Parts: sequence; structure tokens; C-alpha cells
Amino acid sequence: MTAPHRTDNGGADPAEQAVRDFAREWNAGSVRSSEDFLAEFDRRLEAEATQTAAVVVPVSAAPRWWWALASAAVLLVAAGLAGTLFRSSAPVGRIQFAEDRPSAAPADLARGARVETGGGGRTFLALDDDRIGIFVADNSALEVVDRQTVRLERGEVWTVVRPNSGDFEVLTAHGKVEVHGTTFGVRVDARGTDVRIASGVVAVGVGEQGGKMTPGTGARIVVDATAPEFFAVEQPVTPDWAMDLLARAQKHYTSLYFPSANPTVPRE
Amino acid sequence: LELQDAADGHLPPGTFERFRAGDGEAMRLLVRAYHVRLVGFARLFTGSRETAEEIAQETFLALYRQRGQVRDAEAVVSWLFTTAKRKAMREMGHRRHQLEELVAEPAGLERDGAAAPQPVGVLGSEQRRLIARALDQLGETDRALVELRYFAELPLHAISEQLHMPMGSVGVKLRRALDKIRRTLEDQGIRLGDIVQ
Repeated sequence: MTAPHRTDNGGADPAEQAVRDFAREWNAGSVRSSEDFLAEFDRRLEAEATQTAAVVVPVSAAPRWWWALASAAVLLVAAGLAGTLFRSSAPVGRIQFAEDRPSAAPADLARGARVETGGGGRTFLALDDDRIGIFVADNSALEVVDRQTVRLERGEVWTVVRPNSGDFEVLTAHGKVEVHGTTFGVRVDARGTDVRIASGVVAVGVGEQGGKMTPGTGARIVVDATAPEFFAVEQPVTPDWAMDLLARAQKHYTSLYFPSANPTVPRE
Repeated sequence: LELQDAADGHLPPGTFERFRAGDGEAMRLLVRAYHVRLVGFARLFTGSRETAEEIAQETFLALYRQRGQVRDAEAVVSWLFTTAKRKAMREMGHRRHQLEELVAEPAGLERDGAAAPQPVGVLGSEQRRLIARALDQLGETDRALVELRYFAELPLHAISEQLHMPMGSVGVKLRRALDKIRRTLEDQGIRLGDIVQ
């Protein structure tokens, strides 16, 4: 044992004081350089602010009746067309269409990119060489974790995955949704996570607890739940905002390549 | 002045409100105030300073991204340590490191190849090793209590919330954990009066 050290413990339990001293020394000795750590965080914070600003999409009101003209089949075919025209060479994916800011797209998405539709607005992403199409509703935020995983922090996405093309996961604070080739939607709010499906099969889980759902079924994971709840829902479930967004994306790209075609999007 | 206060662990009034509104300077004050504790806490699970720093960086950035969902100041601090632990445990495959081995590592022999800072403080190297050994011998719950109380420096009610344990039980169990540490040290012939006066 080395020579005794003096510590002003103010009359505290010596065992507690010894552990407290140990912990403080441990913590202080764990950071290699505070200045380097803070400088590195500054760098990341600035990169984050730049990246977020680049993908914030302004709001635009959605026509309420357009979805009634569409169907899940049309959605799949059209998403495939957009994917073929604008095949991505980016390692993870790209923003295919940003409503009200069409000139900002297409824009590459790196691993870890954050897409936020701040005060409103909608955007359409494609991941993994267009295998996965993601429609992001307004007031939503998500992180592109990798080419087949997104983390939905708030809001709603409607997703189209090419059948038999591989896996895709949507993570939320409450659980996760795994799919293999289907059309489905996930919405996150303060009460939990909601899942709806239009085609195929989706697995919804919290940790190891979960189950599979097919069209006609809905699922909900409430905050702090240990397993999802499944229940019957009426079809169709494809949201009008996603159909409208796709129509606007098609109009934009048609105008871009065929200026004289002058396509229109139905309005109320 | 704000930077020095933050470095000392004191945040100026209104920092959390500014942070919630997206003020980058307020975020930097938070990082300055909590980064030492957070890196040290993460290193309990990673064993490596480099990995612990990376986890702390990611945790702070995740906090910034979710600033709109922050409830209050205490929730922020508690969230930081919960998130860092989850990230670290996932990174390390839920394996725990023996603190005794880590404190015995001489400078320059860090597993990540980085030069280890020389420990500074009131404890001698042998005392550090023996306290680390006593901590290693604690059970899972006792260890978690000690980590949150003395490494993260969380208040008892925050620990109660994190461990889903009644407030009264937190105090009692923490006291028992300290008694175990005292007995382990005394079994090795160590008188705490020699360490702490």
C-alpha cells in the first residue's frame, strides 16, 4: 500500500469517499483530450446542421381526394418507373423528389443521413439501388442507418419494397418492422408506433416479442410495451398523401424530360 | 465565463431551453459539462478510451437530433447515460470488462493503441487497483447502482427511474453495495482510513 492520501470527505462514509474518488479519477483519465473531444463535436455538429438544412422540405397542402383514384398496384409500377429513370450510383440511396423544392433532387444520401420534413412538406427517397421506395409525410424525421434500414423518429412513412429483393427494416423508439417485399406504412407519435400494410407480409416486434401481419391487419406498439398489439383494419390503407406525392414527383420528372407534355396533377 | 462554468459542471440558467430551441452554443455547453462523465461511464463498458469517446460523440449528436422531444433538464442527463450504456453494451456484445485489469494497464498499452493519460488524483496506483477489484466483485444490480451514482453522478431519484426501483430501495441497496466494497477491501488488509482521511 502506498502512503496515505488526504481527502476532505466532510465526514462521509470512507467507503463512499473512496469509490467517489476512484470514479472521478477514472472519468478524468478516460478522456484523452477534452479540447480534441470538444473540437470533434463542433465539427460533427456543423456537419449535422449543414446536412439537415439541405434536406428540410417546405410544407405543401395535400389534396384530399386524389388517393381515391389510385391503387397500390399503380403505386408499385410508378415507383419502379421513377427508380429506373434515376438509378442511383450512391452507396446508400438518394432523395428522388422533394415537394416544393424539386430542383434540390435528386440528391445523394449517405449512411447516417437525416431527412427532416420540418414545418411541413413531403419527400420521396429511394434506397439500395431503388429496391426500396420511401414516401416521407410532412412533420417527419428519419435517419438513414444503412442501405436497408431507416430509423423513424417521428411522423409517418409509406414504403414500397420490391418483392423478393431482400430485407428492409424500419426502427422506431418503440420497436421495429421487418419486411421482405411489400407495401406498408409506419407512423410514430408520442403514444407509440402504428403499422399498416397494403400487400405482402410484415413482421412487427419489440425485442424478441412480435408477430407477422398481412393486409387487413394493423399493428400498434404503445410506449414501453413489451409486445405489439394486432387488430383488424379496413382496406385500402394506402394514404392519400403518399399517392399525391407520387403524382407530383411523376409530373416533375415528366416535365423535366418531356417539357412539351405539360402533365397535370388533379387538384381539388 | 459560461464555458468555464460548464467545464465545472454548472450550466447557466436557460441552457436547456436554448438547447431545445436548437441553439448550437447551448448544445456545446452541455457537451462541455457532461463529456468527461459520459466518456468515463461508457469506458466502464468498452474498456477502450477511443471507443468510449466515439460512443459519447454519437450520444451527444443523437441528443441534438432529438432536442425537440426533450422533456426537462433531468431527463436529458438521464437519457445521455442510458443511451451511452446501450450503445456501449451493443458495441461490446454485452461483455463486461474487469476494471482491475484496466487500471493496471500501464500508459501506452491501451488496447486501442492510444497513449493512456496518466491518472491524477488522491489515490495511489495500488489503491486504485484494489478498489477496482472490489467493484469487479459486485453483483449486477449493485454494480449498476454504483456506476450511476458515482461515475454518472446521477441523483437518487433518477437512478430509481432508470433501474425501475423504489427510491427507498436505491438508498438501501447502495449502502449495502458500499458495505460489500468495504468488506472486500478489509479482507485484503486495507483500512479505509489509510485511503480516506
